[in-house]
Amino acid sequence: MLALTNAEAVSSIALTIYTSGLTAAVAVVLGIPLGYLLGKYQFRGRSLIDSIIEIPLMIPHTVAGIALITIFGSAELVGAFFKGYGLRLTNDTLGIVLTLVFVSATYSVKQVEEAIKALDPKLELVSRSLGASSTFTFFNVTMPSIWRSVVTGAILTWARASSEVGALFIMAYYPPVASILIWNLYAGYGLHESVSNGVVLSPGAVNVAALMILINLGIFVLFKLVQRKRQT
Amino acid sequence: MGTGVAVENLSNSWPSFSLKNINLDVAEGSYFVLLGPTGSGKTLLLEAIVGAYSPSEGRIIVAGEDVSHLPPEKRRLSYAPQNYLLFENMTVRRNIEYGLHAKGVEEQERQKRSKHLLDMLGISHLVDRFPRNLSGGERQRVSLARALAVEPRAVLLDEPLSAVDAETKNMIIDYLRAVHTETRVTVIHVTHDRLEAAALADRIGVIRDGEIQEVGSPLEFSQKPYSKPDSIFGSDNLISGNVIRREADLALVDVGAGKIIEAITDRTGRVMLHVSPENVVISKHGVESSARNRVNGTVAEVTDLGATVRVRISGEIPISALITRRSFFEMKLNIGSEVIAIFKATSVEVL
Repeated sequence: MLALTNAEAVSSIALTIYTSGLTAAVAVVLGIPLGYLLGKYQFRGRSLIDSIIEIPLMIPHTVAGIALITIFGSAELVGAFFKGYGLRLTNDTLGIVLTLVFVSATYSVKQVEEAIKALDPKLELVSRSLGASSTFTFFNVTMPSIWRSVVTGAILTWARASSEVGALFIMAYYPPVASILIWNLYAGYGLHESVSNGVVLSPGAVNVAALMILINLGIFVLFKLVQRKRQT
Repeated sequence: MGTGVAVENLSNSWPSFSLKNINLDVAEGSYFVLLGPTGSGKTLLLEAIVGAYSPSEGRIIVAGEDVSHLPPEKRRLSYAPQNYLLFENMTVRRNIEYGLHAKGVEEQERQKRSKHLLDMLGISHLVDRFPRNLSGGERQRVSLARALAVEPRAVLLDEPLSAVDAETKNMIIDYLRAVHTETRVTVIHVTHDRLEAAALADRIGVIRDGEIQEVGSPLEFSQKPYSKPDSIFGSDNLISGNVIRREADLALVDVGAGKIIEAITDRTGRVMLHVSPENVVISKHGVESSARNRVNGTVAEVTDLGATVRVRISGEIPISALITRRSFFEMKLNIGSEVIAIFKATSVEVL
């Protein structure tokens, strides 16, 4: 398959796997404390935080891209600040991850939040009454009870991140992840591979898309396996 | 102030419920039962004691130390909730040793303590099992062992017998009694079941609508006339006594005033007897029968319950009988009628 030997296609698929993986990791790191906080405690402003977390699911992702670039664009407030330290938040791997975290970390947070809500609040009380600190309790009782939800959240985040295109068009078009490359190949050369005088002009949008389908199917199977284990 | 657990002027309000000025003094080494109906606030009070929340008013004193503002892990009060809440990702042994792990107790000491508890509670064969493979009674015993392993200043049991069948319940009551006798740990046990309270308690605190209404021993409660509004055992025929002798399978229980009640039990020492009013027969003349127990007395109170009539007999020991309305009229019973209450040794439940 030409897509497997085409450097541009391989590089964009690798970038997709890498940035989506990084996004899933960041989402887990953010999702566990945030989901725990939202699932366990009632406090003023809780609904507001919950709504902000859910917003990325409600708005078109091109709108999300516009929102992000008005904050993180190199001429904008936060973007300009980081630019001063030599960090680009747009059109860079960092920009890709930032965008993907914004549009897909919700899945990790919500999974953890729901898992914490489903836990009997007295479980932690029992542990602490036996002399365990809240940290010991979290790592020995709470985490073992919710880890499958954490993994499920990470897989969903990864899957959602790897399929993102709208927000990336605006915030981090380059280097192209697979979804953007597929669009570029399709718009420039049509569905199939294109070779001219022995030079590969396009490995074929359909071929790259097929590869991505295989990879995402693998992730989907993994998700189902975790879900099945969760039910037993 | 004792060295057990004391609650002083504790109050706390929620949108639809309040605990109101609770005062309790649970002596060290005693078995205290907090008795109340569903929604009376008994679990909320237990949660305040264990440290689930800080009450807006009042103090909780444990062994002379004010623990009101300490987190649960600093109070040294083990909590065993109604649904056990064993740690599902850990084996039975690991569950029991959990608190010792958390405190950094050496493995040798952990094993020594868990082995002792496993033997005491008859669950040594379950050490490598996970909670999902245990029955209700087994889970309850593991929960109890886990609570005891850390050698707490008190064990707080929230409705420990509510989720087990009748047979298992009797077995767990025996274990609770044996464990308390051996360890002399202070126990605060929450329940809505009066017979459970009578079977286990040294003292009982009655809680209703967020207020402690009365505290006393089972004997004190059992001697109250059932018509009194604060009576909790009322017509339950709870009789306190001491096993003085055994004749074959029969235990002879001295219930005071020279009266002996015969029952079937292998228990010794102080016991609480229970006879269902439905199992008490009333006779005016004393007929010959196989029933081993007879109590002479006079009819003191009569309550019309529709198809049945509850007759309270005052005499050698106070006892109630539930008879049909037809029997009541055919026997021409009145307040002051002299009667004999008859019941079989096999109908005497030894709590």
